Amino acid sequence: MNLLRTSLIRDLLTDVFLNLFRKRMRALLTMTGVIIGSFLVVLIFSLSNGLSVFLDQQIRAVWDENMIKVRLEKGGAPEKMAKGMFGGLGEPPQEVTEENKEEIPGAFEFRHIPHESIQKLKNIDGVQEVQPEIWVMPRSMQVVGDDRQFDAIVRPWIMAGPDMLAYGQDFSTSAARECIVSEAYLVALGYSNPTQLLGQTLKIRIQEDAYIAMAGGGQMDLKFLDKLRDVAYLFQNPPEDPELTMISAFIMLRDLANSSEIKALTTEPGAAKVFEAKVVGISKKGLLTNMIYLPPDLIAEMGRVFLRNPDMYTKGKDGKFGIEGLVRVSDPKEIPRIKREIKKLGMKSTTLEDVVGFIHGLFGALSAILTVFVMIAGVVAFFSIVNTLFMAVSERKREIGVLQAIGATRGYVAAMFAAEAGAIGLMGGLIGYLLGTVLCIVGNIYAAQGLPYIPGGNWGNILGVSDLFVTPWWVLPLMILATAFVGAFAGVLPAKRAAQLDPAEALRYE
Amino acid sequence: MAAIEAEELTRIFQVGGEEVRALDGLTVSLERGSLAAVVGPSGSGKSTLMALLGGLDTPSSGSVSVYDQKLNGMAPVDLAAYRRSTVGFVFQDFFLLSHLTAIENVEVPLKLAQVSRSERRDRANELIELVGLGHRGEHRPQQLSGGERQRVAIARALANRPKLLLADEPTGNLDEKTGMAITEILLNLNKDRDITVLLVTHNPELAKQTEIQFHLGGGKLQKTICS
Ligand SMILES: Nc1ncnc2c1ncn2[C@@H]1O[C@H](COP(=O)(O)OP(=O)(O)O)[C@@H](O)[C@H]1O
Ligand SMILES: [Mg+2]
Repeated sequence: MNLLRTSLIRDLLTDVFLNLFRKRMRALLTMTGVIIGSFLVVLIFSLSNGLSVFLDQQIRAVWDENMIKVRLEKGGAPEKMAKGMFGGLGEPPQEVTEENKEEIPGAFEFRHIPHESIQKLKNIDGVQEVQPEIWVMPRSMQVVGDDRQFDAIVRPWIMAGPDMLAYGQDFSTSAARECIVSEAYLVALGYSNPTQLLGQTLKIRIQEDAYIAMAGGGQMDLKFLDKLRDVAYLFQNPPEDPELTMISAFIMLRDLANSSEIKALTTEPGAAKVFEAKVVGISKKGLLTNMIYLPPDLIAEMGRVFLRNPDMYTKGKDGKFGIEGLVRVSDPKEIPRIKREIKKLGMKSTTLEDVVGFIHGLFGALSAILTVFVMIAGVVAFFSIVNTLFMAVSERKREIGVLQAIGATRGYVAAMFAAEAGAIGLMGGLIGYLLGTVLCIVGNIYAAQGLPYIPGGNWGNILGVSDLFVTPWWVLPLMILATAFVGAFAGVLPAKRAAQLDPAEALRYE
Repeated sequence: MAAIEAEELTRIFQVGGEEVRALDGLTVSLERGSLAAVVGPSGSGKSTLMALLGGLDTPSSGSVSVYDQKLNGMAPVDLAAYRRSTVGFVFQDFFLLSHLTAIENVEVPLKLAQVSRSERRDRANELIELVGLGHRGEHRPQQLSGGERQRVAIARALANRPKLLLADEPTGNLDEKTGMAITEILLNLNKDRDITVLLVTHNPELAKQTEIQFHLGGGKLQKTICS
């Protein structure tokens, strides 16, 4: 019908805004609910998006998309114990079986990934290389020719991947004595230019410390305890023949003494060993500021020193791979298939997507909770618009009558009020969006400058990587649609009432 | 040819369970181009008649037809179109939209008729000029005197070139001198533009200037005087 004509709609909308302007204070007050709601929407989604982007970047700093972390399904997943420790709450005790043994803290056994499995991993189509996962916590790092020592964490470069390289280049070979250090060291060292650090040699000190190997547990093979038990049993229950006892004891003690765990305990008292590595690259800064990335051979060597276990990371005659492996694939698109094949090998895998997905899920849940509050604001806004519009209709009865007398259809009158309600919603939404955006900008400026009241923390160095508030592109169109809809929907009843007004009645005067 | 043909018009209002017969079987007709007055005591049904003729209200029984358009049974949308194009209303209380200027008030019916913006301006200016308010077009109603407001209201009523002008006590709120001027305008409209004018008045002087006077009483036509 004729309401669909564009000229009429344009004129109607102009009138609607003029009408709102007539009662601007009331319109503004009515909008409060919408303003608060949309303000919250902007803040919540920008913050959760910003944090999510930020964490995403942080995770990518230590987890390349081409990388899969693998562990044995059995003997490689101590986190399952959480269920054993807390899952029993309110449930009858569970029977210990071969299947659920992992969940029982007392029954858990660490196992190194066997070499055959590593070989099978390497044989999977699309797998480029497999390295052991190595955690090394050096005593310090130091630039040769500089007295100062700085703290550091050493990680395999395979974890971060080539896209984290900010300056310089990748390692020349996997055996190279080279390193890639975090950009944050430029700040620590007082360098203004990456070229000042590139090409320098670093001294990385690793403390030999056997007790960490013991406490770390994960690096200790349980066969070692079996050997110890055998010796103890022999002496507790000696055979009749003393000669046999002697020979058995000798063999057992020799095996025990040669086990890497005992060797670790009996060699020289722990000393710091210095490794030298040339800085060939600088990685993008991130939340973990003290990162030094290394090629596989160098970090494995450090790891053996760190654990004081010469057999670790597939070295020595009893070479152990470690409980975790890092698998690098050539194409991330192949990951789902490769994951399935890894599972067939009795191993579980974790990819960047798993970790990021987990975090996104966390923020999704947070957003969902906050969205409930937004919806409450929406409901309040809805009723406040309904109320205002009913008021406007009864105030403007005569005006409605006049309009009808000079030819306005009921549809036009209804559309006028519905549009007015929609406009209240829309304007409220836009004002809220603007306020939210302003707060986001201010928040980002503050975040970039650092938060002075967090002791010792200058977040600017980290958050400079990405903004704290990043408004997703879809927030504005969503807001426009949602607020206009809430408004127009709130306007339905008042508009109906306006349209049903009897013009003759409205224009009576006595 | 008839401008208005109303037959057996009855309009009953329910007031607190009681029936009020505002119009009670009234029959009138009026030739095109004529100038007529409706007179009668207060409560005799004059305004009710105007509302029925103007398509603002529907009769309880009886029929109305204006310029061959039968109003009975007309769809609300068509009735709105009828009010927009065939009739123009002038009220005692002017009923201008207070937030709009004189020109803008005249433009409202043109807007509703979807006349283009530029043509709207031109026509509104022309009409404001016609009612002798050329210099006050940008003023708002509260800045205008009663007589001036009624002139704006007349200009507005004329915006869509109606064939029938219904004026319900157009001078009722004006002093005698101003009222005369307004009357003058209405008479001229009838004469120069060939618009059928039906006006309600209490003023015998004004009534005398019309060709026909319908005397109402108790919702019925008491007598018709042609002068
Ligand atoms: N909407 C209405 N509801 C109830 N009674 C009404 C209504 N409109 C008019 N009336 C009654 O109808 C009668 C005629 O009213 P009206 O046409 O306004 O008279 P006039 O204009 O001649 O003074 C009066 O008694 C009035 O009270
Ligand atoms: Mg009256």
